[in-house]
Amino acid sequence: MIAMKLCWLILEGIFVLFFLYFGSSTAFALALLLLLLPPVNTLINLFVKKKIKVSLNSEPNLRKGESGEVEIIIKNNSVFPVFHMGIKLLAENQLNGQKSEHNVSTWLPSKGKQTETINTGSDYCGRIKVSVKRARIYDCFGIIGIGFKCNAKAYVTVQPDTFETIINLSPNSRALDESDIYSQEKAGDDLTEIYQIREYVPGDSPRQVHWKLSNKFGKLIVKEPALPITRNVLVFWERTGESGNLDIIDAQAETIVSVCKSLLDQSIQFTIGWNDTDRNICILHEVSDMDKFIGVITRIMRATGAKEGVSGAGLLVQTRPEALCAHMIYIAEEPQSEVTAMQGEGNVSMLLCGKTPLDGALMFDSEHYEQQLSQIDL
Amino acid sequence: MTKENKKGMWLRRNDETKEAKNGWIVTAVSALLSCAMLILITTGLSGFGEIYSIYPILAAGAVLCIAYAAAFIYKKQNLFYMGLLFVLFLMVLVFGEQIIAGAGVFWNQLGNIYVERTGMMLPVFDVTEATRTALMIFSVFAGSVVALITCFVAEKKAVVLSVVIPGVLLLGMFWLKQTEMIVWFIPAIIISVLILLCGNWEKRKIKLSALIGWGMVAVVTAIFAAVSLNAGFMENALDYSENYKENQHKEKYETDYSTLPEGDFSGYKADSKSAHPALIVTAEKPETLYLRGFTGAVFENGRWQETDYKTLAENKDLLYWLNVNEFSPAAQFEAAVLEEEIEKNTITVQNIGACSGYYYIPFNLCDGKLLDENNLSTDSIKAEGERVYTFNVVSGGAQKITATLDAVKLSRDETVLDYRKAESAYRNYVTENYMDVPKEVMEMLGEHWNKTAGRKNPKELDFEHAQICTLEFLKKYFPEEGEKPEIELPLSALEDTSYQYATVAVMTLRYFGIPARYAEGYVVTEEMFDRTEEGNSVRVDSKSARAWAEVYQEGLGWIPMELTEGMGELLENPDKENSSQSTDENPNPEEGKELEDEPEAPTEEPLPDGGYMTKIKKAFMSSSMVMLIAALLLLIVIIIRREIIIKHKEEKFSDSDTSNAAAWIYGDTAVLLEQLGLRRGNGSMYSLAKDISEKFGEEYTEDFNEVTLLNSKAMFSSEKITAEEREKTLEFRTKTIEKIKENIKKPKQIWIKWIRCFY
Repeated sequence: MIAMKLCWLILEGIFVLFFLYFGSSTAFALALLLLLLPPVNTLINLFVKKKIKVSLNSEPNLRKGESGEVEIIIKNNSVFPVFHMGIKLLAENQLNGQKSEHNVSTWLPSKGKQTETINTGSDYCGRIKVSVKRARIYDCFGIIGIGFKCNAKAYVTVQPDTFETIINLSPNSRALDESDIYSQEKAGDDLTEIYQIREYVPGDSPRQVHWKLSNKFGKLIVKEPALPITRNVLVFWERTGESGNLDIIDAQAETIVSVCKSLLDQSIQFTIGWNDTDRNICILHEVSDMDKFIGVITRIMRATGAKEGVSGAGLLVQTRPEALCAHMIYIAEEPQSEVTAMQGEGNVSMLLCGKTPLDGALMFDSEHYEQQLSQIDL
Repeated sequence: MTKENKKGMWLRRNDETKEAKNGWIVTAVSALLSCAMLILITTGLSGFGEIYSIYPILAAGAVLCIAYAAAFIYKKQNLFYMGLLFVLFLMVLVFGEQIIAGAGVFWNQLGNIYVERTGMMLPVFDVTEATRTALMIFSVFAGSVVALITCFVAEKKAVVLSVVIPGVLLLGMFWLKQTEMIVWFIPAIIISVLILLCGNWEKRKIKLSALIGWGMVAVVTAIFAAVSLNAGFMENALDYSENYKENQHKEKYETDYSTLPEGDFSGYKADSKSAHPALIVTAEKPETLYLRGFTGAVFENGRWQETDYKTLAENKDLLYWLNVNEFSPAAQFEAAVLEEEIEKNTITVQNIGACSGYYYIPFNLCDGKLLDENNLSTDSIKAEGERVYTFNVVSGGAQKITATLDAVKLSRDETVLDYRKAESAYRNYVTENYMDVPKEVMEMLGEHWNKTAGRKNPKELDFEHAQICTLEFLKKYFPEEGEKPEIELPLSALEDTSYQYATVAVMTLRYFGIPARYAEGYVVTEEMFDRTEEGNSVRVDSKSARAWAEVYQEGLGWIPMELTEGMGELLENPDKENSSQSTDENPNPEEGKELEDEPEAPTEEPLPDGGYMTKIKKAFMSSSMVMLIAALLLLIVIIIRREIIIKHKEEKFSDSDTSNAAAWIYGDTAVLLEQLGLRRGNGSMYSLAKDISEKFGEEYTEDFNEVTLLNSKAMFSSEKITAEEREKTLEFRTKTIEKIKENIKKPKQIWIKWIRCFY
């Protein structure tokens, strides 16, 4: 664009100079033409801008470090072509606040559409919101630009990587772990409830043989014990008090997802929560299976953090006390003072990756968190 | 992924790899187009195509660019460069003489164009044996060099080429005044833009659309240009251009008191009533001086013009030869006078009100620094704004004319013979180029000649008879007062002025075969020196400004007509323009009558350094204008900037999320409070309440407390701020602005409002 403007300026200057010094009529004609073209084209553009529609499409999910395409589809419903169009795209990682901008230049045929493709991605997890920050159409020399409103948006979620972590859930004397809900996906050890009935395979305990059915079908049928599902676990991500370090936010996000996955692997149903620092509210989700958890991941990936403000622990205690339970996993960069109120309601296991060590907390850092959190005792 | 490798988020085009793959095409095509364009521009500007075909040079460039493309594909560019340099080196070794001869021919052709366009000589390259083979070898060599450079630049920094191509064209056009080459800008700019767009510069920003846009513009431009050329555009354009040039000339060289028309009589009004300061002439020895500035050789469209560059170019060999042999037409009289007779008189001219585009020098000028041997012009000598200059003249030149003429004719001295040889050559040139008379004037004079003198050819008259006839004719043009002219005047403009008289005289002289030219300037007489109280300095005003005819006196050069032998009677003719305050009987400036009268009402007392004063005045006016415009622009920028900032603020204040809006308003109000000296620091806003109460009373403090509470709600509560609450915050901001207006001094208010844009 600068090149175009400079060229126009230099050309105009040259033609005017030549006209004045040498009386060249060609130079005069060219100078006049150059002078008139931009405003005339701009007048047309004033009409054309109302007929332009921009939309964005993108792939929904990406892995970290992977590039995904975002399609910009621009439709021109007017009979005039647009010689030059500039779109400034803004990509914002809603989890860590990182932003990136990119200018796209294109043109539009009359009554037609133009598709431009750009790549986006991130080395950090989070939901990337791609939006049009500014859209302008220009005259043929790119001198006079006319902006127009464009609310097109697209979202890409960069999924966090997970790591293996073993969570040992120890009973809490202050709360009962009993449950009358059993897993539909996995066998357990509660012989009072049957998970499924199947044919005998060597290695099955004789205690599992369903004699009545075996007699009926004429072959050995065994019953598998069910897995009771407990709802006594709360996984809470404190989004207040973070330093803004991208690696730390990334480590916390991966930790929370890995912990949740591990709990689901053990068929432990749980509640996951975090505080919305923009609206100062607590967001809680019941997670009973992997499908639900996958749905929740997208929401976690846009949980914006803040350095200061009302703490998540405080909001949880004050506004959602019913969510407090026997086992609570508190993930934060720096623990907030209100976490003590949570401790009064159950066991709080703090996973902290900040600089302030705390007694009883499991500290991890952004480089070695996979090893440091390979085993968590609740 | 390790921490070091993490780069965060990205948003980028995904066709960069494709661009990289196609890089060789872009680079090679850029090099090829640039090479071809540069060759065409250079050969076009220099006129090389007129003496030899441009195809060998183009072919050499093209072949090498194609070879470069091949080298690029196999990533052997360095080999290509080294190989080509080696080949060029070999060419120099083997065909060195031919290349130099070809380059000499090229340079001389460039020199021819330069002379034709500027009237100035370039050093001539002595080429004795320039065969077609030499030109062929030079073409191949030059084409190869251009190709080597363009390929290298296209690869390293293609953007340079996009500047170099129009740059070379522009410089060449200005240097050689090749205005017709303007149309070459269309392909040059197209190639430049292509290089810019397809090259590496701004590759993420510019696309095909730009090319299409430029393409369309080029087509429309071509059509527009073609139409305009056929629609009488040229005349209008020329008028504009002429006006601009005249204005430029006036702006650069003239003052409000410059009175001479410089050969252009259209719209010129002679002001004979008031006297304006023009020159201060200081002479070592007082003597009469005809200080000529502008001289005209050709009379066309009612105005005198100097000899055109084309004529100079046609005679460049002669004129250059004369110049290098120290025969300068401006100082010819000095060359004619015998060396032992020369007594020099030093003259200093201080130009205070006259046009400084020309030097005001007399016919008896001694050669000096004012003359440039490369300048072939035989007419006026350009001063280019110089207002104070000193030169020598042959003392008493007017009295030495007859004696000098006799000496030149009779002397057998070798120096005089050399002079006569050069003079003879120059005389031929003068006879060819200072004899043009407009056709209608020729017919008019011819009609009268036929009536009075029969069929004898006026050109066949000898010098003396021709002079007599001229005088007779002039008497008929300008009869005694009360009598009707027998012949209609060839120039009706500027009636009864020396400009008309000189013009008519020159045409009549030419009709009778006497080479003559028109001269303008100031006449300083000995009497003027006598009258002055400042010793040998005389102040010359516009009343001494006039025009006169100069006759080419065989053997002597250009002499003012009044001083030439046999033309004395002409001086009896009334110079009515200058005679309004002098007697009609004798208008001869030598007699000093017209100069005896004091100016009626001099509009400005001429200062000794009047020229500089005018310059300073002009400079002051120009710089004042520039400063005024700059100040206006700055003001506009400030206003626009403030409008934008305020608009952004207002957008935030009316955010759809009322909590956000209230928080923004409160934040902005806190900044305003700081201007009132209520700085919060790191503490709570409530800590300001005491100071606010003391300064602005309880009511304002209550509002402040209420709004601060609303801000806390907006910032930290999940409950939304209502529209009314937002309005309340806005109201508090308005009150704060009023407090600023009441309590802060105006300059600071302006600073806060217009520069900091706080409200």
